[in-house]
Amino acid sequence: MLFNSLEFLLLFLPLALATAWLTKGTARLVAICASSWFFYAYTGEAWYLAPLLFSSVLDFSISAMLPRVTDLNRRRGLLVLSLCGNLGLLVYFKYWSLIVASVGPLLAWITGAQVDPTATVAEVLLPAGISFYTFQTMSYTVDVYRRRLEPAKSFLEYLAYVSFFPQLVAGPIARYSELGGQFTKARHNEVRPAWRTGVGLFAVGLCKKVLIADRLANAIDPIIFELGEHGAVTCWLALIGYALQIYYDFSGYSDMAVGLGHCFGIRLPQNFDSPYKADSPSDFWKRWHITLSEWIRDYVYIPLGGNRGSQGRVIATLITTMGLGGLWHGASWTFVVWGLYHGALLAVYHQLRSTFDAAPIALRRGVTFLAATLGWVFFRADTFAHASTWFLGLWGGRGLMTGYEGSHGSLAALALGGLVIAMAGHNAYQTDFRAWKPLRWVGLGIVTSAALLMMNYSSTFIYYRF
Amino acid sequence: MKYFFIVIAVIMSAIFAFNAQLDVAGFRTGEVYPLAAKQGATQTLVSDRDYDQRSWVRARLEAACPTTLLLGSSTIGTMSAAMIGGSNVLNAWLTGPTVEDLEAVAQMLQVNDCRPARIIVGIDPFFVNPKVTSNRWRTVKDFQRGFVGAGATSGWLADTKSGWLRFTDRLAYQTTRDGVRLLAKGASRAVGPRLVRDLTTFCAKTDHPQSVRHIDGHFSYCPGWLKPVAEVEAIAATYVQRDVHKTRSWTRLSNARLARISGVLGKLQDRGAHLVLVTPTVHPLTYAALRADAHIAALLDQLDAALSALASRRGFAFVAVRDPNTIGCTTGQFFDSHHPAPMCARLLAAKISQAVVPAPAPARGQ
Repeated sequence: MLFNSLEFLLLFLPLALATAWLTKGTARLVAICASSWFFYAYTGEAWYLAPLLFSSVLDFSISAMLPRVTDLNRRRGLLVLSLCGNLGLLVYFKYWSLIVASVGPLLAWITGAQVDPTATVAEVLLPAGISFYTFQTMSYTVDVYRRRLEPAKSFLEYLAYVSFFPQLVAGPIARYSELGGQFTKARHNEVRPAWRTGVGLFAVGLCKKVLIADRLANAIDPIIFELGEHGAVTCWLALIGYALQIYYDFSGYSDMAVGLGHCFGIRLPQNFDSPYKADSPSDFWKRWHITLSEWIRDYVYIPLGGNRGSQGRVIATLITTMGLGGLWHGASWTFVVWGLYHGALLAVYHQLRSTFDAAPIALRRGVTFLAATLGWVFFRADTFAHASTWFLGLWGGRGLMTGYEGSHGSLAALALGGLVIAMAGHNAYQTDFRAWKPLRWVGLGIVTSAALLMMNYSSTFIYYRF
Repeated sequence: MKYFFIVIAVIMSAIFAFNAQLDVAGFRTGEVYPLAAKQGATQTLVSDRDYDQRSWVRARLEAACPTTLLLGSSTIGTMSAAMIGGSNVLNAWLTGPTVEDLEAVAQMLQVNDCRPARIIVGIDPFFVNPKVTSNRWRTVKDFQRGFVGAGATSGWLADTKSGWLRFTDRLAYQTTRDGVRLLAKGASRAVGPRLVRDLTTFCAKTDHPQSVRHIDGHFSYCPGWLKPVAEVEAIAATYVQRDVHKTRSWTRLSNARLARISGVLGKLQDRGAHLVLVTPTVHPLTYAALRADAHIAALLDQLDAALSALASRRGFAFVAVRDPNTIGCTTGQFFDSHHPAPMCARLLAAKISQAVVPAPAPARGQ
């Protein structure tokens, strides 16, 4: 069940909202948890609940023990247990195929043994959202370990924090310090729905996903599939189209998630802030997938040394952190290279900051957009060979207009429109839906109707597979 | 904010009413049954909108019992009697069939005491994809209920689910788009289901793709309706990306559906038919896209292994030809991502006719 489906909008959501708002106290949290689990099981498989509950129980139990343990070694042991449990889930479900596929040939190369080219790795089905909720549960335990957070007193409130369906499958990655108190208030009937903001954000997100991201996907996917037959113009069109598709897809999802949170009286953190308006690589990561960037900063970058130490050390830390951030996205070395590429961009920016920041804003924005866009090649390409074919096309290695067709004109128009909105328009969070006049609601209603109609001509969210 | 909801309610209600009235998906086309019943050997059933293929199959099975019967989806629908060989062939393909359709047809054969000597069954991956559901089989629900011996509760549940699917279909973009296109043609050019004798003349006058079903059940297109190869390739290359047949959403093989398919095929075999299981051939780029996704490739391998095991256990022939290279079909021999054009359909039919029916494996304990 997707947010962009009639089952969700006409059956599940009204029922989930009704049960949440017609119940009070503990029953309200039970209703939220139950509807979240139903949503999760229905979206994927019923067994997806098992790793979710395992991770929840593990971190709640360990965090409950931590304040009572004073011995540093035992505290560390408990933290390691939590990390091993959560990372173990990720390794098994997400990275096992990559590990086997990478380690096997490596060992064969070292030992000189023959590799069986027909050997296949047993496929492990990846439960949706596992990368998101394990990061939430790990951050909770680490914060308790660092004594920055009191452990949750109620398992039910903690479960609601981990399972809350608007953010369960693809974020935003919220901290317990942001949501825990809100679920406590919900239990004490102290939260109110923000209907206007919630409905407005959800509608805008739906339109971004269905009317822009999916239309772009339909136009660029055939080109990306056979890049070897396209020259520079179509390769650039496909690349800019993809940069916009992934932005509208993921930020659309995030808008919907935050909007749904408002409808339940829960404020989820903002995940995007017009990233293509960024004027430096550093600024880009403060605007793109904000909750992941902050998570990586707080739980990977700073513990690895952060800005402390020599310049070389800082650069190495930056690149390592971004490489790990890339790996988080998927079990493929192309994602790692995408992360390393951004690490290198940040390192270069770190070195040339004063010169770069002195340049005109339009130039800085243009360079940042171009750099981020080129990085998407590694993110979207299936293999390195695919990526190099794309780069060759971008460079003009197959000519300028090869493979260009008249229909690509509509892609160019769509991309241009999307680019203008992304670079010049206000984002959904800068909009005060509470102050909207009726005419604006009428306009949003018309556009949303188009999105509703196109919904079953739509697709899943890109970040669902992470 | 109330204006937001009012606008949406008004627009969506108008779209629902428009689609329900026009019925471009052909949920209500009751005129098909009598037309199919009287369709002559030289006649073709044409229509500019989808129609109830189940009524057509039912009427043809009641009109005559075939010696060779093809069951499955439109992926095997382009194979004609001439390609298959034999004088009494019925290609009973259906639009978006499900397991329930197989059960309903098995019951039709039982009721009509029809015992085809050979039954060729095309098993598409979506048959065992739990994410794929359809309400079309509801038009033959009495047969399906007769097959499984359904009770009142399961009947109510099925009706409710069917009602919801029909409701969502009438709020869909594709339905609305097809309805608008139909309307744009104008009433004078609109052609509901009807029989034509001279298909060449019909094709010369008609420039809009329509449904064309021949007396042996196979479907074809007029030459003027064919898509350019580049367009077909683009459609095929994005088969997975566009989540056609819910391929990208496919998470697991439905063992329950596999068991039901096995049950239906077993009953058909028990009534004396030689069964040939086929994994229908898809466009080379579709096949490449399917294999490029490790998860989908693994599911397809599981499906093929399960069908192969079923075939050897029950003594069915098994023709695994999803990969077009196995029969030599090339990119120019497809109507779209998964419908072989006559050249490829001929190769597919030739491969099926070579299929050897193995001896059933001995039962346990023997």
